[in-house]
Amino acid sequence: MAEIRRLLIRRLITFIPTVIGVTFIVFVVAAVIPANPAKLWAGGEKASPEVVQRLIEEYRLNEPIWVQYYFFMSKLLANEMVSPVTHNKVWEDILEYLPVTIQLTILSFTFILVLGIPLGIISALKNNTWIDTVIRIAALIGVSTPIFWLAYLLIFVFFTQLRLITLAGTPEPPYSITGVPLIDSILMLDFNTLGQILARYTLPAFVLAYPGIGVVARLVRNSFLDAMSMDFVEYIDARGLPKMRRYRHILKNAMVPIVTVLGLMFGGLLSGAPITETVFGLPGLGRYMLQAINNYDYLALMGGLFLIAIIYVTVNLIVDILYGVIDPRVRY
Amino acid sequence: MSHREERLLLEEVYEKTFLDRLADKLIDAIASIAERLRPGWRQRNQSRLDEWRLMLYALNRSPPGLIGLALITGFVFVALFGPFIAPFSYDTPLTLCDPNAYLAPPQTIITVGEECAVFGVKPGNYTLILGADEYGRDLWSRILYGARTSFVVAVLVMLVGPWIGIAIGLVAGYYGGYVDEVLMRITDVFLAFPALVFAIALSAVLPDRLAIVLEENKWLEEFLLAVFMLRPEHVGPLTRLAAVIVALWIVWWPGYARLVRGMVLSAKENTYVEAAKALGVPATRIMFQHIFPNIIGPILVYLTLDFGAVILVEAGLSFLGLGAVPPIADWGRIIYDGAQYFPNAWWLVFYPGLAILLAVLGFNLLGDTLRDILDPRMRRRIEFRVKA
Repeated sequence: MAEIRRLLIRRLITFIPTVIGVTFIVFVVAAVIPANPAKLWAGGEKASPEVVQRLIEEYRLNEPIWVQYYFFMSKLLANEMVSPVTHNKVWEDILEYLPVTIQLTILSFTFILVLGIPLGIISALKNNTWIDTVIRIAALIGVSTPIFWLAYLLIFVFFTQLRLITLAGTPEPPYSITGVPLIDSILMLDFNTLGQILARYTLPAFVLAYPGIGVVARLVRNSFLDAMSMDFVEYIDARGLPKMRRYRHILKNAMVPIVTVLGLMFGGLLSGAPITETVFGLPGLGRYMLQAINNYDYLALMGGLFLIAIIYVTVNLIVDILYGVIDPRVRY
Repeated sequence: MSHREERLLLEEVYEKTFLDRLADKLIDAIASIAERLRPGWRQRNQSRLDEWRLMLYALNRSPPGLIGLALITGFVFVALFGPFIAPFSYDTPLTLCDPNAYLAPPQTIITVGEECAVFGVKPGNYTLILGADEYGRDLWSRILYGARTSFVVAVLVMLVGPWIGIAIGLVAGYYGGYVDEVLMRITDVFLAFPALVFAIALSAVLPDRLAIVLEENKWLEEFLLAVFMLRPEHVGPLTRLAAVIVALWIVWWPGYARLVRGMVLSAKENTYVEAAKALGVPATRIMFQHIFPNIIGPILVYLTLDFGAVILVEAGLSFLGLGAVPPIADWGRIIYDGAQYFPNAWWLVFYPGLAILLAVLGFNLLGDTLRDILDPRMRRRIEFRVKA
């Protein structure tokens, strides 16, 4: 345990400079814009000069860049940052978009797990047979497919032809426990709402998962093959342990690289899926960012980017800690 | 066994195919060019040349690798010559010539009269083999031009982004200590953003600033117009495309920095590095001329795979309305614009997407095969068609 505690402390110490660096980059990204955003916020060319002046003062736009940085970060962290376009607090806006992203992440990650891992294991067990070849090539096609194209093809099949899914609205139950409709409806055993949610989210989640399934299948195959050639497998065979026990041991040894990639993917999914959300018209984090860009709402863009980076870094930190739990041989 | 005998033996193992002889010629050509530039090069690098040759032989024995190579050759050919093959320019509005061209399905025949001479179209009958969009722009021509757009963006990104990362990785790994710590923490910060989201934010904020840069550097503007095969009046949309290129430079280096640093850490413990240091060879020369050629294998694999990845990300950004804007022909953008007529005008979505898939698949197949070839265990299997 002392080992893990030491790791935690070390990781947290490097975590803080990373977060500060992230905020700095977010800020530089916004500072690159040379056009005066105040004018755009006030309504473009016909904006009255007083309003523009007020906005410039309110958002410290004509002050030195470090003053702007301090102003922005302190307001954002104190939840006082108000978007000049929507006139809502940035965090409150984001909170409204978050449930969609969380539901997509849950379903999409489920697809990756239940399809990617078994396909990889089958591929490894049937190494160098036609099954293995088919899975390998399918995985390569998976990472080569533009997902927006795949999305339209699937919409054609499941919506236009089969009418199995819905493409409008975001189903919400009348009650709220966690704020995420998918989890709420499962907790309340409300299968009607759950059905609606699945009809709306299953296809986008699959499209989002599609490249990931290939990546995970491939990775599982390779680490499984590596683990199967280790000496302990011979020992297990010599002892005559049952087949399932054998696979369990192999899987445990193959787990470390798989967990890394799964962790990165989870972080990536939680960061929003701009393309998938656009095709399916889902209001998630990715949409939020794109909307902020279209409205020249750079404060919202910075807020969104900041949150996404924090989510991503935090998930990576958790994955790092998980290593130690999964594989006691890992020393830091 | 002498070096010469060993080489003869290797040649006996192979029954040379046509492709192998082609590979021999290619290697010979490279060697003679290098020999002309630096006399004595061939003799000093004989073992390296043999190694390259054997790698190409192995590639010739891997069906997925050859399919990948064929797809890439096709893509590069279309990117270079497509605009010259295309029956129409990327923005010829054929609806003005023949109303039938409006959202024309594949294989529609249109009749063009004298009035269309302003668009440089000769009168006569034309078959729109892949159909046309709502302005009557020929989809086949736009896909051919789109290949140029994808290719140029990918080349410009790959010529800069990864090399920033490789240089940083070499320096960080070679010097170690504080240099390493500082450079790697900076890399970590950049890695803290998911690539697509970061690229979206950057390509949204960069165009304004780049418009100024292009305004001040006319030669750059002309160079970009020439490589993208655009007419001068379309310089406006060009800045958005340039923004994507710069955004992808910023997004694409950190992965390479981390990869190269790791490899340098182990490569620098080799005797040849120690020898070079003892001889007083300057550090930059050790890094770039001694260490770099010895770790180039895995880098090559990633460069190949990422060429496809850049095409995919660029198409995705254009699909989101960032990057290429009309009238520039871009595969992602054609799908975005065509999607509003989906599924009735399915061809506007289907064919450009297929083009993206085939181009990216080519690079993924080749990259995957290269990875196998560079792995000694896998390579023997390919060379001798052995099943494990």
